[in-house]
Amino acid sequence: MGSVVFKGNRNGIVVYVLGKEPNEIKKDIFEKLYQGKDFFYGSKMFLKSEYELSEEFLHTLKEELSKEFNINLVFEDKKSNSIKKGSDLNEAITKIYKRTIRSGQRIFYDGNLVIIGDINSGAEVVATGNIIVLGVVRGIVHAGADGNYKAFIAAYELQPEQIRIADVISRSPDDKGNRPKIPEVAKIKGKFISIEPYLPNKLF
Amino acid sequence: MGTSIVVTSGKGGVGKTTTTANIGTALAMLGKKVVVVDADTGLRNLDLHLGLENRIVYNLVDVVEGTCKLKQALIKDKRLDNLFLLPTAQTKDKTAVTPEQMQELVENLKNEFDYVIIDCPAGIEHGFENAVAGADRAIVVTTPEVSAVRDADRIIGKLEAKGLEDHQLIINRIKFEMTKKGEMLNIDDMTDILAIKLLGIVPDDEKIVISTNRGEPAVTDPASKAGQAYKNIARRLLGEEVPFMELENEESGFFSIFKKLFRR
Repeated sequence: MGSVVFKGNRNGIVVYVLGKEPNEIKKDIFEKLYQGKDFFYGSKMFLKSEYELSEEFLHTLKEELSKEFNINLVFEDKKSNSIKKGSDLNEAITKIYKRTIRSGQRIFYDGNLVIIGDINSGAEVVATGNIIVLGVVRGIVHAGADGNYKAFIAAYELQPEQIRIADVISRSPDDKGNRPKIPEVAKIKGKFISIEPYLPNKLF
Repeated sequence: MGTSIVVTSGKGGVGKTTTTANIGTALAMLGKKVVVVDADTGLRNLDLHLGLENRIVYNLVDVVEGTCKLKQALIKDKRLDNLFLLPTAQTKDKTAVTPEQMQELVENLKNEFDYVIIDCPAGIEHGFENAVAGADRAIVVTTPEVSAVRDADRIIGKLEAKGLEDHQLIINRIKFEMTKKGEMLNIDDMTDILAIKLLGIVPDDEKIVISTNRGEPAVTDPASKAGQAYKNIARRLLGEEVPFMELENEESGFFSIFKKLFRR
């Protein structure tokens, strides 16, 4: 025992692998599962590991688990894609969403986010990197969420309830009319967030 | 120690949030220290009615989860210094809060404020349970429609089952012309069926839509009839005797002047 930790969440069982030795890991997993064979039967299992486990080992483990306990093993190897503070956002991993983000929806991504669609009022889009919106921003956008002051937010139309970059918050003015309908970029200047019209040669 | 009042209805769209925003604002205008609490997690709207949607950073769910302090989540109104809003989360659902947590939260608010007004979500499920958990009094809002009256009746039953006997009725969106002709349920019928004390009658007012969209409660507009009705309701809540509004619609036009003359 000791090379694995079992945790449950809404989706199934999460197994955190702490050890390196494949045989030991396998032994520990099976030991744990035999303790509650009926309980674990037919469930979904996720494997999370700090270390690279061999493909071969994972596949034999998957087969044996499904045979013995009818467990569906899904593995996620932890390839670190998180952006370190102050690192270059231009080369960070980017996720693209191609839909309207509606009220009540919250999107988080550890990296840059590109939204092809609108962000409606009441929605929240949070990224540790930059946020680029090919559409209208009416909700809350938060770039550089882990404290990156260099992050920016660009959109076809910026009419957000709030803009947040790192730990700086800026809210929209109270009069609701007369906001420009042009592409704009928000970034931190000094202590505050400044919003400027998008001009390609002025951005960086 | 303040008083907590839940504004509820059962049916959706009868004007709970409008009522909450207006009574809250009216009480604050009368000099009371008021907090309005949005209990409609996931479908919050009270912030829009008060025009405070762009100020929300923390919310009720953050408070009960311990992410922030209660004071950090309270938003001061932009017009009145003694009116505060406690918004709820839009990206969570009703199960994020338990009735016990709500009760504790409302108790804390009662120490700080004269009036805690809770905007209840539609329905009788978890959200309703949360909203009424910490309430001392209830205001039931209904409109002159059979469906709204039936739902109000159900809600009153629910409230009484919880031991919340201090409840009063607001009839919203009365069209005096139609009640006079008998096309709409009349006020006596409704108070008869529901058998609770009438707190106020609010006339149907198209301007309410404008004031909601602008984020300015009707009570801030001296010309608004609905606003006047809400002001009267607030004064009644404070224990004043205020007569109910004249039930007849202002007739306009040439002949009405004569009619009025002859009536005298």
